[in-house]
Amino acid sequence: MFAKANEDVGQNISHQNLYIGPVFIVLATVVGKLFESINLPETNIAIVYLLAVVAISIFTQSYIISILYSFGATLSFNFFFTEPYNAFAIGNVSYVITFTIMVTVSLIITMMTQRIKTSVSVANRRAEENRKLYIMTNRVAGAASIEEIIDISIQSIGELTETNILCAYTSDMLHEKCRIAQYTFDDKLRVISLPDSEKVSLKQIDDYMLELTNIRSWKIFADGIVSAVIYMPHEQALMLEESKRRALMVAIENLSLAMGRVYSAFKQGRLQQENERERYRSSLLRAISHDLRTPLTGIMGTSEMIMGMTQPDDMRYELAAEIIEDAEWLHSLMENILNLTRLEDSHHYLKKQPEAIEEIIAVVVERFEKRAKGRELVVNIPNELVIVPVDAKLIVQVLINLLDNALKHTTLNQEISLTVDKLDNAVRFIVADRGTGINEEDMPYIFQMYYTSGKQSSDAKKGMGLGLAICKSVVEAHGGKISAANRDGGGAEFSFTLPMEDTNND
Amino acid sequence: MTNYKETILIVEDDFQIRNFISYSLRNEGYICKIVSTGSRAINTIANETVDLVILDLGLPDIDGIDVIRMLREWSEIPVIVVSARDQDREKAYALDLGADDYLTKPFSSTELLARIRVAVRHMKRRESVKKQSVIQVGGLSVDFEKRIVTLDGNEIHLTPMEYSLMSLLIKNRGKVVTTASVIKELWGPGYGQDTQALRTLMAGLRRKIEANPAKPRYIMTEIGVGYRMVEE
Repeated sequence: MFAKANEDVGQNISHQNLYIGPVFIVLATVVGKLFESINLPETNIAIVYLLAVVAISIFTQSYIISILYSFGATLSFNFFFTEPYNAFAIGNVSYVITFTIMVTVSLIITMMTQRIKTSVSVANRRAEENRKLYIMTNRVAGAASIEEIIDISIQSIGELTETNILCAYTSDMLHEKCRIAQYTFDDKLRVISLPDSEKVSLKQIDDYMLELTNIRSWKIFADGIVSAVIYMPHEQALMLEESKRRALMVAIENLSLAMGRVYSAFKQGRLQQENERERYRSSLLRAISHDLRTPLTGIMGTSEMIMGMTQPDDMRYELAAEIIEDAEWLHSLMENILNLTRLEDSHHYLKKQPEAIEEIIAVVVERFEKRAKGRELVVNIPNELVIVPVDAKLIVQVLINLLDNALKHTTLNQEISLTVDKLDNAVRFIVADRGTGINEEDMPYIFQMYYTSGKQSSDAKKGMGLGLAICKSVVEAHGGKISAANRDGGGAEFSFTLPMEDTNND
Repeated sequence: MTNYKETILIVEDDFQIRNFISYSLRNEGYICKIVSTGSRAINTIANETVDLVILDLGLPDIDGIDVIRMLREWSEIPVIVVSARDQDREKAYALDLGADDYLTKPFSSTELLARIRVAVRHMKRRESVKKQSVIQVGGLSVDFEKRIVTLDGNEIHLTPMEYSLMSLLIKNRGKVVTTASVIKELWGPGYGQDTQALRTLMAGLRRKIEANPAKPRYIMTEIGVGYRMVEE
């Protein structure tokens, strides 16, 4: 009967505890009989029973059992030591008082001992929880991979909350691969690996899990996104005591911090790698640039020297002038190739700064006039100051390339114009001419690298080839668009836009 | 003074480049000295008569940048850098350290000679007039005592910041003043590299002194590096 009561309260009591009650009452009765035989007063016997009640409540875990035994002790006192003897009856009225006091005292004692025991056990449990949290924090801090962190954390959380836990998480640094770890109270830790071939995202797993209504979930943020989700059966989650719930929250926070640490360490490593690659790349480019510039300087300078030594009607003068012209062409080709190579890694190379459009245009106009002596450029720019985040040097090169192209397809008296408009969120540049225009069959290919008009022979060196390709690369690296069209009334028009807002900067 | 021709030291390790530079300089009547290392350059400048230095940055012994730094500790001699390094950063660095001009290879001898003339004029001006109270460039004139700026005889009103920018550029006319040093001079150190404020200020100033900002007459932009006030 007592055993049943125990089960109902939900406490597990060993069998030993069941026998302690009767043993103490029998013992008290024996001692009482002994006192009676040497004629000690009954009050002493009552005290002995009280002692037995205290002993019982120390060894017993449950209120109800202790209370029942305190009644038992009183009844036993009544049965054996008060008149009428060996019967449950009250002969003397004064015994009513004795019994009442005895029952009350034993009840109070029982309750007090039980309360002390309860707080001791709560304190012990808290200490144990804190110890587990501490161990988890320590182990997780030493873990080097996401898998390790999750395995440790899931096990710790399962042990702490004494529940079954499932955790879905992204195991790689790019959040592409998903894994699942499971902790059940009997099975301990088990890792379920999803096959690599089946690409399942964390979101898909979460959507699936959320359809199961009897599941409670906690999302774990690390690296700026949800990188793990912890699931627990709903009824177990509801049963969690306050302290366990608190411990769970602390554990989740630790988990998120630890994952964040691993991600940022990885990112730092990758950044360093990229920086190294970038350094290598730029020193290579610098070396190439240097090695090409030096001989070009020599060629051009020496040819100038020959021109200075000869008369313009001398054949050698003409030859030297041609050498200079070729060297200049080679120089512009080299600049284009270098910039194109740099732009391949555009967001590293672009040095965007707020620049005034009028300054860029002024530089372009100055260079145009130097290159095309006697040619006029019609310039139209907004009166107001327009500032755009660009790599000014590259935009200058785009405009120069477009103007060079226009020069090539016009004769001396055909107009070339450069127009800048401010649109809503962008600036539009238009380079237009009244020259030969673009062949319709060339139109789809003109921004391709090394494409020159089909009419020219393939070794006609002065074809643009690279020039328009680099225009496209530069404009697109800035987040803009470039296009080409033929104009009504003859001539070609190249236009490109540059966004006013700095969009693709990290 | 009339027949005096400046002595120019060419510091360059490439034989061909050295050859054509010295040829065109001698053609113009300058006296040329040639060395191919940084340490010999410093020695020559310290011990012999040299009026101007043409300095390559990629020297076999000391980096040209360090040559400028060492030189500037004790000498104000004009230095024109000719370098195969095309990065704006290097350009601005050399100018901030005290180089007077920077030419990226390849360049034509005409261009080099023009830069040399500017630097020589600059040097002479520095020697003859210690402190000028009025500086004139074309139709533009700045009176530093009265703080008055006139354009073609008409007074123009500048804000205090515009006036500071104007004085900085006109005092350094003919020379590139780097964006970083303008910002440092006008806004103080610690303002960083925020070019937006400078671009806006410059646009305001240009609207007061330039007839056409797309074809400036006075203040030229050296894209990615800085600004240069013309000399006349």
